Amino acid sequence: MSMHRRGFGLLCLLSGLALAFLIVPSASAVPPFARKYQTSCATCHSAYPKLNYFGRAFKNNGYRYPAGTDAEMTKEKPVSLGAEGYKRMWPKALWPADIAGSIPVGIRAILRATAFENDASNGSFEFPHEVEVFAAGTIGESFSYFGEIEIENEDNELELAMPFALQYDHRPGLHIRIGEVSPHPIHDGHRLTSSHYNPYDVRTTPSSLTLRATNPNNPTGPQLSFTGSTGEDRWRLRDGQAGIEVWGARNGIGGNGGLTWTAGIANGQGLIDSNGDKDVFARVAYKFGGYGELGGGEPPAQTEFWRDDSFKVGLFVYRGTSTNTYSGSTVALDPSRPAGVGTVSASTEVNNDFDLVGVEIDWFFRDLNVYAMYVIQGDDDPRGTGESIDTDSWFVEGDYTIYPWLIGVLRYGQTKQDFSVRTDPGTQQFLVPAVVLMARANIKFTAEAQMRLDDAGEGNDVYVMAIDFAF
Amino acid sequence: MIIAAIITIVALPLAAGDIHGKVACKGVRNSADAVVYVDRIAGKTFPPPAAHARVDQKGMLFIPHVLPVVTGTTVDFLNSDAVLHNVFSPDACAEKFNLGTWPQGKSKSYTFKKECMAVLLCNVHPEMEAFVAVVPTPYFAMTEPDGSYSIKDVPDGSYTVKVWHPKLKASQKSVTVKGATEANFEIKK
Repeated sequence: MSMHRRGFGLLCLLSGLALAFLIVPSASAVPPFARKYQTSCATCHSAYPKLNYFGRAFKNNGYRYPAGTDAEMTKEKPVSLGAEGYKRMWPKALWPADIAGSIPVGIRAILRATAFENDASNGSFEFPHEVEVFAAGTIGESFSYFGEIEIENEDNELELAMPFALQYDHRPGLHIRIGEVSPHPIHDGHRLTSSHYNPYDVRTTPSSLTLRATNPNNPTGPQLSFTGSTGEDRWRLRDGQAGIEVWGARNGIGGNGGLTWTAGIANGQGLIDSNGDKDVFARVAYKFGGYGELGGGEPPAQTEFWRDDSFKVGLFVYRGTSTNTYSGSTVALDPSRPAGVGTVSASTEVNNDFDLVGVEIDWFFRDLNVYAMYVIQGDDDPRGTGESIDTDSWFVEGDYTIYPWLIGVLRYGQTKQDFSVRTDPGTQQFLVPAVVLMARANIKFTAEAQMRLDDAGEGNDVYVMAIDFAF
Repeated sequence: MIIAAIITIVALPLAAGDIHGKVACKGVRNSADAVVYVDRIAGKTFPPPAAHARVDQKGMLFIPHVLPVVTGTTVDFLNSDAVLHNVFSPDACAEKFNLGTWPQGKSKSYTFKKECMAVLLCNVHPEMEAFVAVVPTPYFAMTEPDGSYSIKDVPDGSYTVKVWHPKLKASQKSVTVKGATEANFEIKK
C-alpha cells in the first residue's frame, strides 16, 4: 500500500470518528456582513451557505436589515462619500452615498478529500479544492453589491471565475441586478452538499459530434467521418449567467411569509454570448406562514435560527437558445493513392432552442426542512440532428437539524431523458446522504456520499469529505 | 441646643452607612460589570420591589450587559429591534427558562426566584449575551469602568461582601460597616 493510500485511509478513519464531511462551492457566507453588523454567521445562515429565514429577508431587503433599521444596526462606521445635504443640490452635485468603513472582503477555503468506488487508487487530498475572495455590502441607501473571485481546482488545473453584480435597490422589495444573475429557483450556491442538485447538472448538448467531409483524395468515394468537439460552455441551469434581472419581495398577510418574484434576461452561455438571442427567465413563489419575506410577522413561540415553520411553493420558467460550434479534423488517406495525404477540417454550428418549466416547494416544520424541485426541459435540436429531447428531472432533500451544529442531509433525485440515440440509461437516480458538522459558526465539516442507484451508474459512487471555513 | 442635638440624631438614618471602594478587575479590558453585594443577612429577608426591572434588546445587544436585582424581582425583556429576538437561560437556578421569540415593541417577563448568576442568551443571535445577578439583599452596586462602586444605605453591622464578574472568579470578604466604610477588592481569572 502506498503512503498516499495509507494517508488517505487514515484521513477517512479520523474523519469518520470525528463525524466529518463535505463542502459547498459557489459561495454565500459573508464575513463582511458579520463584521459590519458585529453579528454571528448564524444570524443569516442555518449552516452556511444555506440561508435561514432572516438571511432571506436580509437579502430581499437589498442586503440590509429589515424595516429601514440598517443604519442603526450597523456597528461599523461607514465612510461618507458625500453629506446628506448634497441631495438638495442634485443635479448640480453628486448624489451622496457611503461605503464600508473597512474593506468588505472575506475569504473562504474549501478542502476536499475524495474517494471513488470505481478507482480506489485515485483518492486524493484536494487541499484546497477552492479558494474564494468575496466582497459584499451596500453603497449608500440605494445600491448594493455581491461578488467573488473564485479559484477552483479542476483536474489539477486552476479555473478562475469572477461572478459579480451591482444591484439597484429602489425600495426594499424592488431591485434591479446587473452582472451575475441566478435563475435558480432554489439557489444552487446555498446547498449544503458538494454535489449539485441534479436538475441543474443536465446538459443535453453533447461535448462531441460526428462530423462528415468529402475526402479530397477521393471526392466520389465515401465521406470522411470524424469527431468534432466543442468547449465547456454547453448550457446547463447550474452555471451563473451574465444578465439583468428585476426582482422583489413583499410580506404576506399579517407580515408573515409573502411573495418573491424575479424576471430576467441573460446571455445563457458565457460572458460573451454565443448567439444573438438572449435567454429569458421568470420565477414567482409564495410563502405561507413563517417569517416575512421582508422581515416581520408574528413568530411562533419558540423560534430557533434554523426554524421557520412555513410552506413555500413556486413556479419558474426559462427559455433560451444555446449555440455550440463543433470542430474537428482528420487525415484524409486514400489507400489507392498513398501520395495523396492531407488534413481535412470541418465544423458545424448547432443551434438549440429549449424551454424549462418547473415547480419548487420549501417546507419547514420545526427542525426539519424539506425542499424539492421538479423541472421539465424540452430541447428542440441539441445535437443538430433534428432530434428533440425531453428531460424530466426532480429532487427532494430533507435537512434535519439534530443539534444546531449537527445536520443530517438526505437527497434523492432522478433525471429521465427521452432520448433515443444516447446509449446511457433513460433514467439516472441519485442518492446523496450527508452529515454536516459545524465546528464553529464559520468552520464546517461535511461527509457525503454521492451514489448512483441506476444500473448504468452502479459502481460509480463518490465519497467526499471536506472542511470549509471562512473569515 | 440639647433639643437640636436630639433632633439631629433622630433625623439621621438609623445608623446607616455605605460601602464604597474599588474593584480591580485583572485580565479584562476595564473594571466595569462587576457586581458588589452584601450576602445573606441572618434572620433578615427582603421583599422584592414591586417595580419591574428591565433588559432591553437593542442594536443586537442586551442592555444592560449586567443587571443586578434582588431575589424575587421580575425582569421585563423588551425587544426594541426590528428583528426577532429570544431570551433564554441555560442555568438551572433560573429554571432554564425560555421565553420564546417575539417581535419589536413587545416584551416578556420572568421572575428570578432564586439567587443566581443567570446568563441570558438569544437563540436567534448567538453573539448576544447578558447576565442577571440575582442577589439576596438590596445592598448591591455595579462597578464603573475605573472599578469604583458605592452601596448606599447599608445598616451598620458586620457582613460578608461578595464580588461577582461575568468573566472573573468571584471573591468575598468580611466587612464591618460603620458609617462610610471602604472595601477594596481584586479579582482575576
